[in-house]
Order: sequence, then structure tokens, then C-alpha cells
Amino acid sequence: MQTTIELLTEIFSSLLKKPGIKLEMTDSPNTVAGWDSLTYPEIVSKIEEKLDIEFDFRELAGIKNIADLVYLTDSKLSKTANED
Amino acid sequence: MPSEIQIRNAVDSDIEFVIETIVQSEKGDGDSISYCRLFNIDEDEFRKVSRKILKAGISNFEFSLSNFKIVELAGLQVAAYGAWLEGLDGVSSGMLKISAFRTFLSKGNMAYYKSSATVVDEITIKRKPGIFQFESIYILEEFRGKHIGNMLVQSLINELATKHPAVTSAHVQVIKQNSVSLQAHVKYGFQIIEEKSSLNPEILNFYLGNTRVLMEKKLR
Repeated sequence: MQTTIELLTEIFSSLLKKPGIKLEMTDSPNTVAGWDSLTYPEIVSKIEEKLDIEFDFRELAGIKNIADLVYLTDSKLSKTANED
Repeated sequence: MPSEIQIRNAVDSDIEFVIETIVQSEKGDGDSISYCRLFNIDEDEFRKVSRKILKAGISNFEFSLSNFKIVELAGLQVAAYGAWLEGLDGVSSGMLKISAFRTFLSKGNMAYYKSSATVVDEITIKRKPGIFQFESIYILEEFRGKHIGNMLVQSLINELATKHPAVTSAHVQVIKQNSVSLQAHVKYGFQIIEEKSSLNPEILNFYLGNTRVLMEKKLR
């Protein structure tokens, strides 16, 4: 089963057009070229679409790096699983 | 200067005045709001979205209520200005802003942004972390020329510098052709340190002019 960071890697790779990119938990907009205010809305939408979850502004406001995005995504998924 | 003048931090009841501040500051010498052009929304929609963002209570970007100071005279709001320390919690103001608009606007608006932002991006100057950022000033017309803008700048700097004493400079970005704002900031002690221009005529669909300037005020 695909891990969250693998899914994020796939999404970043596709939207930023960077085949072979390998995301680390410490990566952030400062270390990933192309992760900026132009691409971020699409990245977030793609994660939501793929996993059928939804992020709100307060949640996104706390995202500093990949680790935060993985943690938020996983917590959304586990919340959804608990509701089912 | 009127003696009963007060400068205070913005509170929830100031939201409408802060929205007016953002709108009027955006319009400058003209009549257009760049956000409306960027997302293909009208002024009413922009005001609605701004209200939602301000109410969310997130700090350290252009739409943070807690970053605004209000000038009050005899119980009336007459001026406002916002400032924050860039990147304080490890997230840039640019990311906060786009996260906010993405949350409160439709997919259609965001798709429009994808194409329009590439035009605007030509004169975007990335904000530097660890520097105070000023954005959105508005003074009611009848209160201009009374040094209120300077008082606001000083008040914001004093408060921010008390919290963050290691910071050595403050920045503001202005469209160069917005001569009123440019000259006002020169009077407040800011100097131009960087310019970015676009030769794409489409830039004028978004801004009053084709050049953005970064102005700096040294704090010591």
C-alpha cells in the first residue's frame, strides 16, 4: 500500500514536472523548487481529490514542510476511517 | 494634531474598517483591486472573502486582523495600517494568503488565478523572512496631511520591535506609479532598494503601473 509521503511524492512530481523527485520529511517551499503560491493550490487540491478529504484554511496555515503535510493528511484519513 | 487621537490594535468590531482599508489601499490612485483581477471576482465578492479570511484569525500575513492598528478619533476609526514579521511561524505570508483564497474561493476562481498569476508573477518580489512587512494603509481623506500615517508606522514598529528586538529593518512594497503611496512612504522613512518591472502590457490589467518597488526602513 502506498504511504502518504509516496503519494505526495507522486503528486509533487507530476504537478511540478519533476520526474524522480524524492521528497524528505524536512522538505519545504525553501528546498523544493516550484513549490510556491502558484503551484500550492493545485497540490492541495490533488491531495484532496485523490484521498477524498478536505483541508480548511486553519489546517493549511500550519503547514511548514512535508512532515506537517503528511501528518495532517494522515490525521484526516484516520478521522475519516473512524467516521465510517 | 487632535489631542483625543488614539492608536490601538484592531479588534473584531474593526473588521469592516480593515476591509475598507485593504480595498482602498489596493485601489490607490485608481479604481481596481488586483485580487479581483487575479481571481475574476467583483468587489463585493472580494469583501466577502476578505471578511471570512480576517475572521479566521490567522496571524502574520496581509489579511490578519491582529496585525492591524487602528487610529481612532472621538470614537471614529479614521485610519489603519497592517504589519507583521515575515515567516514568524515558519510559513510565508504568500503561502498563508493563497491557502486562504483557495479555501474560500471556487475551483473556477482558482483555475483563473493559475493563468493570471503568471502575469503578476513577473513583478512579484518575494518577502524576506525575519523582516517586518507593512501592507494596506488607509487614512480617511479629511485626516490626511496630519502625520497620522507616520504615527501608525512608528506605533507598529515600536510594538513589533519590542516583541522582536533583533529585527533591523521594515519593508513595504508599492507600485511605483502609485505616486501618493510612494511619496508617503518616503516621508515615513522608507527608501527604494529594489525594483521589478514587466514589459507585458497585460500587467496593467492588474496594477496601476508595470513596476513594483521594494522600500526599506532601517530600524537602527
